[in-house]
Amino acid sequence: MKLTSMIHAADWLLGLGVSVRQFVRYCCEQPPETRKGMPVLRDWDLALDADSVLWGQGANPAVIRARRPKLAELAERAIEEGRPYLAPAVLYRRIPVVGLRHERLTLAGSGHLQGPLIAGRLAAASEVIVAVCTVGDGLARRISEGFRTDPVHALALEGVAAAAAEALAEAACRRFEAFGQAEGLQASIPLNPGMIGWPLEEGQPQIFGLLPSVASEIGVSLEPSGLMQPLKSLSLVIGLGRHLDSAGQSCDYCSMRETCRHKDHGHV
Amino acid sequence: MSESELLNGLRSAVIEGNIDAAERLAKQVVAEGVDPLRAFDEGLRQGIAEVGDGFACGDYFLPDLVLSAEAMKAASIVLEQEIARTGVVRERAGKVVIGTVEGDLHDIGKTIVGTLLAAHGFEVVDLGVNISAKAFLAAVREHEPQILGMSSLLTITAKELKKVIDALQEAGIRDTVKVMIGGGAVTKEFADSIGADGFAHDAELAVRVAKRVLEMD
Repeated sequence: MKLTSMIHAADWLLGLGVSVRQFVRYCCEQPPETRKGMPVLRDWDLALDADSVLWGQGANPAVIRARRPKLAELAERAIEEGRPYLAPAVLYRRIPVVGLRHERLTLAGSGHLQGPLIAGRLAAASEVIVAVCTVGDGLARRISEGFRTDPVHALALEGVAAAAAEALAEAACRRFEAFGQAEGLQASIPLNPGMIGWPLEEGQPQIFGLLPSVASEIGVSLEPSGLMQPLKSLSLVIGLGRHLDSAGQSCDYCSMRETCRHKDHGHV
Repeated sequence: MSESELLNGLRSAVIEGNIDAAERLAKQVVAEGVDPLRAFDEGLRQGIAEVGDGFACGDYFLPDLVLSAEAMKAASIVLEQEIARTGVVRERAGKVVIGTVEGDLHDIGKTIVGTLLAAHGFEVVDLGVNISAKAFLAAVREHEPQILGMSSLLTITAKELKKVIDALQEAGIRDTVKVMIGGGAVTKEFADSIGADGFAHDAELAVRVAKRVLEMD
């Protein structure tokens, strides 16, 4: 960022109540490549096991192991087969919060996030981290072709892809929480577009608008429908703040919780 | 092995998802001159129905369903050949055209619905994903299915479902086909509001609804 731009930005932000400390951190703390793009994290060792792959297929692992041990074995083999095709990457951006008004969270640099869920969970945030996570589309073609010839095997690979995307998002969130902890900040639960109180068609463009280089850096694009390509991609925002409420979990805001078979909600 | 033991074995092979056993027993049915249509009804269909019931109440899961469908398919191929050889005409459950609506690229759920419908004797034409209303209309005209099944996992693309139904209405062929919808974005209330004939939120239910809309049960 050029010096003159920094001065103008500082003037504006300080006028809006952003602290000098927050502004300096925003400008200087992030790696140089964020001047042009956003930080990309690719060093992920995804924790995948047969249980997560079975959950990824909508199956309770304990029940499957007892009834169909061969499906558990297939899940193990699918991990070995599918792992080389995964290309996990996370692009993120850390942005100071300027203020909240009428469910609209204004961010430094004229960006915003908006929705009842945003206002409800991020009101006390001093900054947010917006991120897009993807495991790429390497497995997608194999899965699609596999359904024509061996649906059971293809479903297992689909379970691997789903488990990998979930594992990546969880690992990214833990890393973002660690950023905050290092500075004495609490982290909110991760919020995803499509959750109750943050419609997909509103939330996705908000996040993608804050991450303009996501397509060029990690190959994730946003369809007009709000769908991300590759399909095994996740977008999220996490708030950081000294007095942030971190209670609860993302599933509490999922509209499909009552029929979900991908986690043990007590009804599987 | 008695005939009833054979048919029970076939049913069990489907329930257990034992593809090899299902195929082997189907061949034994043929070799021993057991009525293949009876094997279909009392062996395969009862087996898959039991798995379907289990799935509906949460005891069985998607991998169980798909594995059992594959076992049924393996046995069906053998029995179909015998039925064709004897010249008996097996009554098809019906023809279904399925697809995911325009703007939505989700494939797996729709594909599994197609697999199960085929296992239950339906002829399935799978159009794929991101299918426009115009393409659905063309497919209905071309294939003349009894059922048009459409999937939408996204709330924003759910409006496409109504677009297709309206297109069928405008084309004057709405009454020629039953429309079933499903997917994460769909509810029964929404299905009723757009004039769909049936709604299902999972693959096994889709089969039951398909039979119901055709008044087969």
